Amino acid sequence: MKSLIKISSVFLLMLFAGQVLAAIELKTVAEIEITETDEKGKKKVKRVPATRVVPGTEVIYTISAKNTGNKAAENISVKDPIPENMAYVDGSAFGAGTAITFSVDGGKTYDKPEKLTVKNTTGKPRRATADDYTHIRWTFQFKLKPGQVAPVWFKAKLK
Amino acid sequence: MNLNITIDFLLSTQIRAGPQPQAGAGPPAHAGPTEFARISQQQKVVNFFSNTNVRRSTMQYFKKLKATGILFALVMFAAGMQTAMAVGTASNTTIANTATVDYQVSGFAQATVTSNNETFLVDNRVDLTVANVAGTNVLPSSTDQPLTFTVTNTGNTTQGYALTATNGAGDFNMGNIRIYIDDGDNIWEGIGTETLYVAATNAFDLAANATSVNVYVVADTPGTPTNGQTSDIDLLATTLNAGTTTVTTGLTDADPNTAGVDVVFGDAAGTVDIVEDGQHSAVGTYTIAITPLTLVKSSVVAEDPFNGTTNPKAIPGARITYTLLVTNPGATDATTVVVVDDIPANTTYVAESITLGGAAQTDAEDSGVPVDNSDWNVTNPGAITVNVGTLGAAASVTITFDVTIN
Repeated sequence: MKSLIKISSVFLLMLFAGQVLAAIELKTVAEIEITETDEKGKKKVKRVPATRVVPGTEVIYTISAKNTGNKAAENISVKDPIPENMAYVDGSAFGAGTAITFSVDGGKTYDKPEKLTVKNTTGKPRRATADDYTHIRWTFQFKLKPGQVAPVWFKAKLK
Repeated sequence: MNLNITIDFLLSTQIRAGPQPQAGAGPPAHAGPTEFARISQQQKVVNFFSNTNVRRSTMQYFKKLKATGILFALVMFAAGMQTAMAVGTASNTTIANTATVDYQVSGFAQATVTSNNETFLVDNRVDLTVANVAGTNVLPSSTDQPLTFTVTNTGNTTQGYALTATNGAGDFNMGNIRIYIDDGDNIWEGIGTETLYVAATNAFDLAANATSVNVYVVADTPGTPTNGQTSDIDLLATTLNAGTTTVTTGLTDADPNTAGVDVVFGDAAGTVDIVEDGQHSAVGTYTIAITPLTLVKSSVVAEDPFNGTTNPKAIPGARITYTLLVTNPGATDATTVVVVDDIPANTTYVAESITLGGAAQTDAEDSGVPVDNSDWNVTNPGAITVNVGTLGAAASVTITFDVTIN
């Protein structure tokens, strides 16, 4: 059903935007890092699918944008809500060649961390912290060429 | 010239033998400048009769510490409230995440593309905290003494708990150790009110989110320990599957994850358990605390043959009033308190001069017909004997008697 929606949306944009064979595919993966000890006693950090997550576990979200069309995509901005029951891990968002901004109002507006404020319990504005973020936005500073894949990341901790 | 005071009371008596520096030393607290001369005279009398002894006497103990128990219960109740903390997302919660992307191609805005909905299931992090609220001061040979603990579910799933209490380190072992579960008000109200825990059963289910319950280790103190000795008791809680007596088993790091709710132990190490074992434990301490009575003796020259009551001097024929202030600084009643004070050499007891708490006492031994509780030269020859009886917690009583200087 979901893939059907995705396919139909791709078709819709091809038909109405008149940009045939230009499309971005977006994929989200949730993983956790585990430390494994090999036969030589060496410890290795490994990423595995997020199947064992308890409160306090940090989950790494990787969102990959792939240009499946035949023309470069420009002015790309990827947005991701911080999942419910999770808190953004400060400083964890990354994306090569992207400008990263955050939202504290449910995705209506985005800004740099130092410019974000929220109201405290007495109604006075205070500097927003990572816990206050509701959305993350990666604004690509480059064009995504046909076939190119650009991943972005962030970590969130299960509350 | 000796002035001997004996004080008997039903505690493991801790009044020290030997001179009591407080005995009449120093001016009364209310003394003003005009009383200076009189105080100097008193001082001489005091020095004259300064060798005051307090004799150690009968060692017995008394039983219940009800007031102390309630106090600790209140302390525990307050502390129990403080343990509440954010614990975490409930297990079996699905966490979903969908990203979107907006973009343009050749200057034309394209429709927003949505990613797959990436989901995972929150697993069960088993975590529990056993904490001792406070130690308990006890007397030897006392029964049903409570030691208050809290058991808190700091995990993200409702769990049951099995409990065990064992003697740990210390100078002596408590006997007849039992565990009681609080009846819901977090106040220790005695074994008749709280619920006795039956070994190897599920004591209670605790919901996630730092739900906690008071648990009381209840034990009897043996008669042998002495003041200041301690006995540790470890309380161990083991996580059970909710509503069952099945001990919860957790996955190890090596175990493969399942698509369902996995059980992961996240508990800390306690006093008698290790980290991440689904158990937690804490130690509580019983301390033998016998608070000795205190006795302060003072004296004033009441009158002399020449000056009467105006600036009387401590000369032969002068009347001296001794005041004995007996105080129980402890938190429990002291019973059958008896104060004995030898009449100093070179002085003569003034007949019928004993007072107890301001009430005149007769010199006769009235035990057969208890008109009062005091006598002169009967129970203890050459001494006054005052049966104070029960001296309540933090209470004090004043005894006076008069002598004349020979």
